[in-house]
Amino acid sequence: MPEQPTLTLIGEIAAGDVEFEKKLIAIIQKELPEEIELYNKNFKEKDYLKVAGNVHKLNHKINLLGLKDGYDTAVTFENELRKGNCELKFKFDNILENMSNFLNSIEAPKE
Amino acid sequence: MNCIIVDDEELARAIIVQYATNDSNILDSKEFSSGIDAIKYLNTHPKVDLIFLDIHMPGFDGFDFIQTISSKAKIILTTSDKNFAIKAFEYDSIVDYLVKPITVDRFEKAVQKAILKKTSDQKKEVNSDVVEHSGKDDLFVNVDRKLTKIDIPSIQVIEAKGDYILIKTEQKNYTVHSTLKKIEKRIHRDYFIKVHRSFIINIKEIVDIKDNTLLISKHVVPISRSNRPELMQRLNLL
Repeated sequence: MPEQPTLTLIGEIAAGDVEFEKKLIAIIQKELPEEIELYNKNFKEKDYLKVAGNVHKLNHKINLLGLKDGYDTAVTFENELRKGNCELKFKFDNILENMSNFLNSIEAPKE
Repeated sequence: MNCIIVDDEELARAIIVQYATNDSNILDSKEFSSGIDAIKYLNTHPKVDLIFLDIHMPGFDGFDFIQTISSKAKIILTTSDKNFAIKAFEYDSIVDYLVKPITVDRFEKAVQKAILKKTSDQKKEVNSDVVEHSGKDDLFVNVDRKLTKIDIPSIQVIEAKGDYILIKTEQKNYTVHSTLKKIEKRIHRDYFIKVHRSFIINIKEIVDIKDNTLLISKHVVPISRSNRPELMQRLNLL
């Protein structure tokens, strides 16, 4: 079974500040789909250097959701992309899907 | 310290802004999603002391940014790369780097490093400005057309008063036509510290500190918000 995202680290960063925790979750819910869209667009255009940059950016959110194996995959994928190798795409896409599903399952914080 | 945060990722900026808001060493923070906008800001705001800078930004990365700016601000790099290369330390302005997601403990340590580096740079600047410094403890000042000798360690407080400075020692006060900046260069010792734009004090003579004032002998001296962090750092706090 693949590792599952958690909000543990976000909770630690918020240190009991519930409003701040909600704000962080809301930002991730907003930014992740945008970053994935950009990643997919650059992949379609086979601009692997840009894709590597997108993977690098996504890594912060992978880390923040506590996905340690996901982080390792992303680092390797980013390095391989810089060499023009995209073999890890399927595995990386699964991580993104897992994160998206997890974030969609959390009720969007009310403004 | 006044700081700016440069990162194209809103999430990363939000975390740093939150930590900066809760950190008493940081008086003001501004955030920028692009390096170009931050450079424009720095060009018109020279009093920025600290920059939190993301290395990986599209188009214009952190190292491009560092090579472009002329600001003397200290830089703390932020990165998602746990195996970040030490290339960062080729630049004297970089004091630390933080791996995202940034924890509050690590943030505070990095800010302390920046304060220390800023203080040590300021000391170096003062030293290099001193034309001649005998290293002796005598300071001659012109009082009533007489050159009067003051024993530097006996100075408790120096207060700026318009075109004059008031030098207070345990025995006597001297009014001298000079500026704080000039005397600061002449009495450069570890135990003197500026605690307000109008006051330099002898740290060894402090009796107590309460809120935004300190007591030296019978003199109550104000402490400014911007000078307070350095003062607190120099004290041997339990």
